[in-house]
Parts: sequence; structure tokens; C-alpha cells
Amino acid sequence: MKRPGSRQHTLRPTRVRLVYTRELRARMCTRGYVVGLALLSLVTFGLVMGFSMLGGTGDSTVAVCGAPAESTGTAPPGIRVTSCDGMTDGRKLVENKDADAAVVVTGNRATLLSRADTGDQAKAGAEALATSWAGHQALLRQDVDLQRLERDTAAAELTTVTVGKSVGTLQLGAAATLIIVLFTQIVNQGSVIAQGVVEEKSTRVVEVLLATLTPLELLMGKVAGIITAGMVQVATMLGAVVCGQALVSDTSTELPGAQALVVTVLWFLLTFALFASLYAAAGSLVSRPEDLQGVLTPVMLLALAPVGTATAAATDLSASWISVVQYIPPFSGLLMPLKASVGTANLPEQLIAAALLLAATVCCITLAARIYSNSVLRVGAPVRWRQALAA
Amino acid sequence: MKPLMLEGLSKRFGSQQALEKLTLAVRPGEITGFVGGNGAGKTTAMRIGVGVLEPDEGRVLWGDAPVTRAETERFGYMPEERGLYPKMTVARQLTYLGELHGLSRAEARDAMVRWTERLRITQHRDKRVATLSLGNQQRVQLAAALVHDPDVLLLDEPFSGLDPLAVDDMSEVLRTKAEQGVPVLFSSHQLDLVEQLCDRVAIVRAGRLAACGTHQELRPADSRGQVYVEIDGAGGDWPADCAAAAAHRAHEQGVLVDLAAGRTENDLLAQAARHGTIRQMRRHEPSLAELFRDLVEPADDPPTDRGEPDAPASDPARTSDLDKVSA
Repeated sequence: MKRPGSRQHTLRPTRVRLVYTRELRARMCTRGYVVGLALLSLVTFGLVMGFSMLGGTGDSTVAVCGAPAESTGTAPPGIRVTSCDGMTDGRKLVENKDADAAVVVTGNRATLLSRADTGDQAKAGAEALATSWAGHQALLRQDVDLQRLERDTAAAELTTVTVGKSVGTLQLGAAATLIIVLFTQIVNQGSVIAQGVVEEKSTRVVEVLLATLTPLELLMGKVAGIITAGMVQVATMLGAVVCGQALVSDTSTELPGAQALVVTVLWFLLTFALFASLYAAAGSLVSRPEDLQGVLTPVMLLALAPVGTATAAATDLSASWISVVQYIPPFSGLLMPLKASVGTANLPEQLIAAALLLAATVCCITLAARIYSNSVLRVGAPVRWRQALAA
Repeated sequence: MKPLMLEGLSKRFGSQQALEKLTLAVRPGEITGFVGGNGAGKTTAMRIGVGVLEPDEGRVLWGDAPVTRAETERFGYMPEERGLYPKMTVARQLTYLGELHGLSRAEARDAMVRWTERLRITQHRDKRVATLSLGNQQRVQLAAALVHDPDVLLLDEPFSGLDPLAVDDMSEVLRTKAEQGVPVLFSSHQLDLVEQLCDRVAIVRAGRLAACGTHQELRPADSRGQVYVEIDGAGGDWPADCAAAAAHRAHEQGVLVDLAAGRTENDLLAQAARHGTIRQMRRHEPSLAELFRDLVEPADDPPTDRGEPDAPASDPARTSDLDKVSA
């Protein structure tokens, strides 16, 4: 006759909160964590600023010499036009790298000056300006009313319409990067969870705790505390990225909107709960931190598989295989927020995938609680997964 | 206060049967010593008692009803493998454990102050546990078991590694708790300490209760007529020609003699005096260590025969009646 199961499976919120608070304090109220957080935000901010300065080379400069700047028409995107007097001036500007290229007008002819290291953008810009000047001159020679030409051209009301379901590369890339960075945290924080479990097991404090807590209470409080500490790191990193972008660019960012971010975080938490329980179960199988790697490898591979899948999916979200894999846990945990963040996942699709992921998460937590309670008091050689399940 | 009853507990780990139908009562107001060889099942029984492990069979009763998780909050437990958070300070650790056992933050803090004073570790309150000596860590561990003023105490090897002063402190605390009506169960290999401290002793062998009772009750009936005699210059077989001696065997520096039926110590004294100067003669009361060896490693019978659960129970002097306890 067994004792009523309530002794092992009770879940009391007060106890979970106490474990959660202790774990959070143990993780966050340390000099290492605070210094790490400050360094992380500074490094992230610095990287954003640095990349922006290195990658965003700014406009190319093309000097127009011997003709008014207006005669070359509107400057192409990324080209800044300056004026100069003639061939000598133009040559000097280009040689001294004050301009990337120059268009020098002498009589009815235009000459294009560039250096060997002049970029393609500057060359193309200079060519476009020279062509525009030549066209402008030809129209004048043919007595065309240029103002009327301009009015008639404007009357066509050129508009741009985007058709089809394809997603902008930049938008998709930003969403995929954000989600992959976020979900890589599962592997990082998962390892922290496993280490925390081994620490409690190796210091034997777990037996004192289990005398008053159920394994589920201890597991939930601990995992929630570590997730929170990890999320604070992620939020700090994101904040540094957003601040950095806001400072270096006045154009709108390509990061997903607030609603998409909330949806992504919800998917992340659901998937994290699934993997966190598995990481905790894996941690309970060993008694020494040095034995951890062996039991963590299968869980880590399982956690990285969705990240790889999301990376592959980011190249073409409309691929047929995604319409099936997007429902399969744990892949759905990354594919759905990725699709949702660029607006290609509808609500029913998300709800079905979320229900399946939730069911898988509940199964994993139940399984992990069983493995945890069966192996957390066994010291010595690592316990096998099968032994822990069968005990 | 209510008694704690371990009723028919069985537990198997893989191929090893750790406990087999172990039944034991821990009475309120009494200190019960729990002794047995290594691997006999003491730790498993205590872990089940406090709810850390689930039994395969059997149940744990507190009073008349099975213990619930909420009730185990009222239990104080000290595991054999000492365990505390090494980087947490003593004060924070004890307050946290008090809160886990259902105390409010203020109550837990007061209890922490009280128990650190009582166990003489006040000066270590703000130190991390890892920086304390082993003896002081033991005191903190005991404080962790007592901080919530438990109604039941289960302590697994609480005296191991303690210096004599700490043993005195620990003994005093256990006696005080028992006087308050708390049922106290502790395991130990220090049998002299168990004998000195415990009201009752439970001896476990191969996962089964081999014997349980007061020291008096545990003594075999045939040991009550034994006399220890030490004679200068006499050989070990001098009782062989004494009519007052039914049997004898060497013991310590002398001989342990079983009095023959109808004979008294006076008869034996008279006959013994013929063999030399009697240096010592006294009634022999077997120590707990002797009883333990006799029960756990019997000299004559193979262990398997003595290991039958009913064998010790068939001797009414060696076990107590559980019904009496629960009544």
C-alpha cells in the first residue's frame, strides 16, 4: 500500500515563490552578475556603434565641374554632389580623396574622373550624373520645354505596389537574427540550470530541501529563477541594441514591432519551459559537475535542432516543408514566432502549434519531475536515463 | 504530541531490497535510537519518514492518519549527508529554511537568532557556511533541523564528526525536545551514546526490524542470571567444577558465568573463592554494543536464519507492542 501521492506531487505557490526568490537572489545579487550585465550592455552597444561606423560608409561624393549641379538632375541614392571649377580642380579633388569621382564638363563633352580605388557606387553615381547631364543637354538642343516635360512626367503618378507573400530580406533577416539569438539562450541558460541542479546535489542540500518541498516545487522555482536572470540579460542586450540603433540611425529600424516581440517572448518561454525541465532532469543524473557534459549532449543537440531549422527557414519562409514542421514541437517554438514576426502566420495556425507545444511541454515537465525525483538523491556514478525513468 | 509510525515499509532500489516490511513506532516524549549496520536501511527508513522518498509499500502515520506534505513541514530532519548552500550566510540560510517550513519572514528571523544563540554559533551568523569549520557546519545543520520548532525530529547520524562539547550540546537539545513531548528518532553508530541518551532503541538488520524496546526489554531472558567474576591466578575454566555454574565463557579479564537453576550469587562466590582471590564479582548487564552484535551478527546461527522478520518478534521481551504505542 502506497502513501497518498500528494506528498510528492503537491505544488504550493508560496514554496515555489520562496525557491524562485532565493534562486534569483543567488544568481543576480552577485558582483559577477552585475559586472557581467554592465559589460554585456556596454559591449553590445559598442558593437552596434562600431558596426554602424564601419559598415555604414555613408554617401559617396561626386564633384560636378564646369556645369551647374542642377544640370545633372537629381542625385542618385547614396551620392552627394559638390561643385568645382574645371578639370584641374576636379582632378585635385579626386586625387586628394576629397571626392570619390568627378564629372568634368568641357563644352559639349563630359569626362568622368575616378581613382583606381573608387567604389562601384561612386562610379555608377558619376556615370548616372553624366548621362543625366548629357540627356538634359540633348533635350535643350531639341528645344524641348523642360518644365512641361517635368509636369507631364509627374502626372503619371508613379506608385509602388508590393504583391505576393514574399517577405523583405532585411525584415526577415532581422526577425530571424532576433529569434535565433533569443533561442540560443535556451542552450546557455539550460546549461546553467543543469549546473544549478548538480550544485545542489553535490552539496547535498537537496535532501534538506526535499524534506519540505516536493521535487516539482523545487524544480519549478529553480527553473523560473534562472530563466528570469537569463531574460534580464537578454532584455539588457536588446535594450543596448535598440539604443545603439536609435543613436546611429534616424531611419526606422527593421526589428519586429512590439506585438511581434511579445508573441516571440511567449513562444520562447513555452519552448524554454520544455527544455529547462529536460536540462534539470539531465543535471539530476550526475553527482559531479565534470560528469555533466556527457548527459547534456543529447539535450543540447535537441535544443540546437530548432535553431538550425529556423536558420534554414529564414532563407525561404514559403517553403512547403515549413508548413508541416511549423506544427511539430519543439521546431514550432522557433518557426511560429519567426513567421508571426513577419506577418505570415495566421492565428489558427499559431493556436494549433501552441496547443501541441504546450502538450509536449507538460509531458516533458512530468517526465523530468519523475527523472529528477528518482535520481536527485542518488550519488556516485551517473544514473542512466532509462534507470531514472524506471525507478 | 502524536507518535510517528513507520508501518510495513518496503523499498527496493534495483536489485537491492533496502527495506522489507519495516514497522517502527517513535513515541512522543521519547528519544528512540535507530541502530544497524551499514546498509541496514536506517537512512532509507528516515528518508521515507520525512517524505524525501516514497515507499514501494507501507505508509507513514502521524498519530492515526497518514502524513501529508503539509504536515511534514512540522518535521525536523537532519540528513546523514550534511547539506547546506555553501555560499549562503548562516543567517540567510536558516531564515530561508524556516520560511520553507511555513514560518513568516519575521518568525523565521527570530527563530534563527534563537537557535544560533542556543547552539553557540552567534558569531558566525553573517559568515558563509563554506568558511566554517566542520563542527560549526554541523551545528548550523542542527539549527536548520530545529529552526521551525518541529513537532517530530528525525536525525540521521547527528553525532558523527562532533567534538565532545558539541555532543553535549546536541544531547541537551534532543533531551529538551523530548521533554517537550516531541518524538525524536536518531540513528547512530555510537552505541554508547545511544545507550546513554535513548529511552528506546530500534535495531534494524537487512531492512527489517530486528528488535525494539528499552535497554531492559532488549536484554535476552537468559542474560539476566549472568555473573561476571574476575579471580587472580585462576584459569579460564575454573567454573567447570562449580555446581553453581551452568555455563561459562571468557569475558573481558574474567569469566561470565550463567548461574545454574536454583543457585545464587552466594553459592558461586563460595565456590569461586576456592580458586583464588576474587577481584571483581558483579551482575552482568550486556551493553547495547553486545546486544547489537548478538542481534546483528549472531555467533551461532547463520545470518539468514536470524534475519527472518518474525524471529526477533517471536521474543516478546525484544520488541514492544505497537498497539500500546498508538494507544
